[in-house]
Parts: sequence; C-alpha cells; structure tokens
Amino acid sequence: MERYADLLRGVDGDLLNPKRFMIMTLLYALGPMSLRELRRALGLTWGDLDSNVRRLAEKGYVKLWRGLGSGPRVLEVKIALTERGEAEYEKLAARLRELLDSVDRKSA
Amino acid sequence: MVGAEEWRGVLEAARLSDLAARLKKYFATVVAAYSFFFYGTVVASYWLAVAAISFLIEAEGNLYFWILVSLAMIPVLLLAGLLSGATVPKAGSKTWEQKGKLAGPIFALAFALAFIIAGALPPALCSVVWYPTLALAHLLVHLLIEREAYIRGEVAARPFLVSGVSALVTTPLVAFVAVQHLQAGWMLALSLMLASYSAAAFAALRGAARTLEARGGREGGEVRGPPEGG
Repeated sequence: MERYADLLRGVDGDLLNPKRFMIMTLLYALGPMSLRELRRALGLTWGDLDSNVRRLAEKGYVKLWRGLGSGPRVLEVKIALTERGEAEYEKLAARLRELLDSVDRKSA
Repeated sequence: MVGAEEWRGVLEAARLSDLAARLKKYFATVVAAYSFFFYGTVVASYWLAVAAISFLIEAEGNLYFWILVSLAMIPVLLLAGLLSGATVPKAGSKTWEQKGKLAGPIFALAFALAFIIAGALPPALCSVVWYPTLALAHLLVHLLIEREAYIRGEVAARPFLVSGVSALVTTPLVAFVAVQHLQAGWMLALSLMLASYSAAAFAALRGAARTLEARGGREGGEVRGPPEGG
C-alpha cells in the first residue's frame, strides 16, 4: 500500500482535499463558470466555497473575475483554472491514473 | 500506513479525474462536430440565398455582384463565430486555444488567392474554384492546428482532415460537371460541401463516443479496497 502512496508524493496535498479536488475537476472538465454555478453543481455552502476557492486562488491555481452573467444578473464572479492550475491538475491526474492502472493490473 | 477509507477515497478520486480528462476530450470533439454542422448550415444557407437573389435580379454574370456577396460573407461568418462561441462549452483543446486564431487568416488567405487565380480561369471553373480552395484550407488547418491537438490527445477525431480529403477527392467530379453546366457544377459543389461537412461531423461524433467508452468498464465497477501487499 505504501508503494502506491509513494506515487502521490510530489503532488500538492491541497488538491487532494475532497472539496478542492471537486472544484478543480469540475473546472478542468467544463471550463470557466460562475461561482453561483459552481456552488450549485457541488452543493456547497457559500462559506465552504469561499474558503476553498480562496485557498486555490492563493496558490495560483484559479483566477476570478467579474463577467457578464446569465439571466437577470448583469455581472457575476467567474472562475477558471489558470495555466498553473491546469498543469498541476494534469500532474495529479497522471499520478492517479498510474495508481489506478497498477491497481487494475494487480487485481487482474 | 494509508487507511482503508482514505485508500478508497484516493481510488474514487483517480476514477473521477480519469473521467474528467475524458469528458474534456469528449466536449472538445463534440464542439468540433457541432461546428461543422453549424458552419456548414450557415454557409450553405447564405449561398443558396445569394443564388436565389442573383436569379431574381439577373445578376448571375455580374462580377461586382459576386465580389460584393463574397465580401458580405465575412461579417456573416464573424456573427456566426460570436453566436457559436457563446453557446459551446468553454473547456476545450489547449492547442486550439493557442493556435485556433490561425484558422481565420488561413481561410482568408486561401480564398483571396483563389479569387486572384479565378480571374484567369474560364467562367465554368471560376464558379467552383471555391470548392478545392475550401478543401485546401481545411487541410492546412488540419496540418497546422488539428494534427497537433490530435497527437497530444486533446481531441478524439480529425474532422478537418476528413472534410478536406473528401472535398479534394470529389473536386474533379465538380469541375467536370461545372464544365458541362455552370449552375449544375456550382450546386453539386455546394451539396458535396454539405456532405463532406456531415461526414466530418459524424466522424467527430464517433470519436467523441469512443472517448467515453474507452475505459467504460471502470466507472460502472465497484470501488475496490487496497490490494494486499501494496
């Protein structure tokens, strides 16, 4: 088991936090969206979303800006992965894929 | 030691990130398919309307009319680009994000050259010169942008290659028919353009579907516990 855990060394532990991982995953798969959409998609409270997004922004993984909103909202806060965030997520995903492959091989 | 619960979470994260990567590729490929349907329809409807107007005002042989309607195509395509950009998912291929801006100049340059060459051609061939030009522009977009995106695994299909090759292969037929009957050649070219766009979009949709099926067995399965002995 430790050998598998070794595969995740060098990956930013912050991204392995379930909520932050979900935020990054959603932004990676679907691209930029508003904070409102992100909150609704993940079923998070505003407080939860705010603290996790702030943490990701401090690390330079996401960027926030005001953009044209949908529906009656004129302006909304939008969020997207930065290049650094995308690269870090891809690094994590590659390690996780290796892990999954080795588990699959082991169980075959 | 990694706890069983923690291990389970890591495996779920691995499956989720794998699915996210495939979804991203899926969306990028579906967007390509959608673009071929969308732009094909816009271009075909525009030129059919232009042809109808030319018959109505008897401007078939008027060079200025054709230059004017060709130039009027530019704002139509810009508007179509704005509309399609507002509706498609924003996540896509990195290569297309970086090099996608080249596509516009490639098409503009190819058509500008074609119109210059068209002046030296007989009227029958002049009316269908846009067809091989479109094919060459598609092949150039494939070589300069799409190929790299495909090699890097960002998209699952090469619709520009499919449409470019199919249009190029059918060019002699179009030229032959145009020499026999100018309008018939022009209409055949338009119809084959739509056919090649449909084939390209279909190929892209098939590629997108394969992306999701690639590791389908995993998603349905139960999350296993840590293997013995790690």
